[in-house]
Amino acid sequence: MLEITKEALLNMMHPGLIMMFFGIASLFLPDYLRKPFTLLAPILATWSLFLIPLDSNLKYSIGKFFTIKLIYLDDLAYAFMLAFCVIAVLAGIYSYGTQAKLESAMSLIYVGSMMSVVLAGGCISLIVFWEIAAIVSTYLIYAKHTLKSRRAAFRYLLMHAFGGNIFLVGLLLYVFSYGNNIENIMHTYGQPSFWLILIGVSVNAAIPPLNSWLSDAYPESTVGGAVYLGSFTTKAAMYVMLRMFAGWEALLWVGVIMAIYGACMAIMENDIRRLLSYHIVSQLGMIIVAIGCGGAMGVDGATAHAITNIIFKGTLLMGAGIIIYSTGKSKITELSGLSKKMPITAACFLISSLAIAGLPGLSGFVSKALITSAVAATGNRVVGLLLTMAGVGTILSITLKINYYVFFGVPEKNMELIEIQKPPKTMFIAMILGTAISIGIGLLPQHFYNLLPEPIILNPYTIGHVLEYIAIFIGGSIPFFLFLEKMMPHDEYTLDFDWLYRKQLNAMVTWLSLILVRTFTWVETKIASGVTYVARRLNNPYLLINDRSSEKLKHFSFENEDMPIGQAIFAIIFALTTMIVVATIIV
Amino acid sequence: MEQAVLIGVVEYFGIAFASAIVLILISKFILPIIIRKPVDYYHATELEEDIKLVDKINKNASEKYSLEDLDIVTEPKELPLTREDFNQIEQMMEDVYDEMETDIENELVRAHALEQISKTTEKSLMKRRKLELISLAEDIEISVPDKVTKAELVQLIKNKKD
Repeated sequence: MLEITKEALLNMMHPGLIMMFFGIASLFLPDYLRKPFTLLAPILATWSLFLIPLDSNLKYSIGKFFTIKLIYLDDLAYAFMLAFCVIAVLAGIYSYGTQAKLESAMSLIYVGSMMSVVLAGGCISLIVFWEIAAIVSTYLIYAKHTLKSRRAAFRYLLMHAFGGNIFLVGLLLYVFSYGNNIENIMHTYGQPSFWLILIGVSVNAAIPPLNSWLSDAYPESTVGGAVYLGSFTTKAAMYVMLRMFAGWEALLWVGVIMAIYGACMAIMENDIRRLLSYHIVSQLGMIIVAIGCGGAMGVDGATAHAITNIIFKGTLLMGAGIIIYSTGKSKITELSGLSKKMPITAACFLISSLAIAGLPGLSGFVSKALITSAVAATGNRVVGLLLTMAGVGTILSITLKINYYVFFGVPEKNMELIEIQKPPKTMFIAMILGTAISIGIGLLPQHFYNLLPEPIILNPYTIGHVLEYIAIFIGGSIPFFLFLEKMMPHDEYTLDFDWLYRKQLNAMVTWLSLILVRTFTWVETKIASGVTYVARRLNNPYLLINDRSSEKLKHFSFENEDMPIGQAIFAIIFALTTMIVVATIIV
Repeated sequence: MEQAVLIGVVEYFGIAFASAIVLILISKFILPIIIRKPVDYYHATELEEDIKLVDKINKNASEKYSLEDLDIVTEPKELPLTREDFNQIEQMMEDVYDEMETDIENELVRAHALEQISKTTEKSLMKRRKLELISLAEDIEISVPDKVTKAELVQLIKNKKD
């Protein structure tokens, strides 16, 4: 059972559970109390994170053999938790007053469950909170209440149910063989538990071909919901991959293919949030490359890039949300020249997109420096080149494409912007804070590196390194302007791997359902007719005999109506039996 | 060392330039041929399949189903409003406002004119009534001062009658 000691009380300051508690409690509050209450939750969670001592252990035992470990906080978990707390505060400020009651509560529970995944000390608590997060995050997509969002939420839930169940089976197999600890599982390579865990985590990590839920669902979510969704699920998956698969060389190739694939799809996209979703896939690919490198530099590179991604991707999603909130539009083909009417959004978006591209002085440069060092240390030059290519894809798809066509390019003659709603100031405050953090990390890399789990010595601001990145930036930008007309997106839909289950599996399920319905209908009809047959003959046994004499008996009636002979016989027998029993009792 | 840095810069410039060209070729020229579809691709194909399924069900069924019976909604395509549509709507609204403004102005003028007419009519009626009273007073041999009000005239006539 829970040990109630002073240490235990400190250990019980579980940020994730605090968030979940606030989420549930906010459902019962009136609106004027609920809004500040929901903003208080991430602040308290952050405060509790600072109170938890490192190497805390919060355990709950069921019987002698089963223990749930709710907190395990080491340097790696601390780094991820810090990023989660920061983005939870920013997202709370951003969506202050724009989220409905249930959506706000679900956001808090979702954040709490993702924090609990990172803090989990054992596989069982990991999977429990993993599944809770999958269920509650579905509502953030559903909450937009359009037909498209409902369908996208359903597909999201199906995909995560599939991934979660595979992950559960894999973890259970692992736990029963090797114990409950979350650790590197490379020693089980080739066993069913290894592959099942990999597939389960790959769904949340959006590794192709299991990635299409991300670009399908995130654009359909609410404005605030997208910021939450983009910051937690995938990064928690990166944390789990860091714990379980660090140093697996195959991940170098998986990651780099993922990074290029995401960049290519982002270049083709027209919808801003769908473009950013594909770009999340690309950035996750870079993180996975770092995980594959292993070692101190690889672990730190993955952690650093995950943290910087949380901040600048969150800021970009905030910017996209403000555009959608203001104009009601999300397609690049319907937007242009926004910088004059939305200067703050344009500035923050530009800075965050330069950060994501890795421009010196910003956070992306600092975290990418670790990844490139880690890849260089492996000696794999091909992966290094392909990673550079993926970085150029980032420049093309976000830094240049969105900024040129949406914000700073020449507006089309007839495209005067109609502002539908003025966004709340809290949206701008959150976005500005996120941008400031990106700049701060870029300008103070050593302080940032001190937060990382492994001690490393690296100075990203060497002349060679800075000049190389500037060369990449310029070299990647020139073709954009050479092919300017072609770079404009089209108002069309790009197919993804979800075609396999949206078309083929859908057809299969439909036909299977049809066959089953016909079979069961046939069985039911036969049973019903059989029961009717037997019931009629029990009612009137003479129906069994089909001849002329029985016809007369069948139609025999005192009042020219069919006499239920069976019922009459039963009634007589029942009456005689009752009389005999009563007589016996009396006697 | 400077030479090494310069070589590195040129190398990365070249890699980035070539990477951008390759990515643009893949994303803008090759992949669109395979995976670019109309915006309502899934909805349109799902609807086609639903219609085929309903036809198949109805083929052997004694009771025929319609798409509405099976909750299959053929959503009308809501085309997004273009800038021209907004301009047109704005122009129509301006025309309506102009028309309303003209009507309101006309109404105000009409009301003012009516008011003037009624005032004039009232004055002339009062004048006429006074003249009638003066004529009556003269008929019954009452001397009527030059400036006399209608009430004084009525009192004079009453006094005479009394």
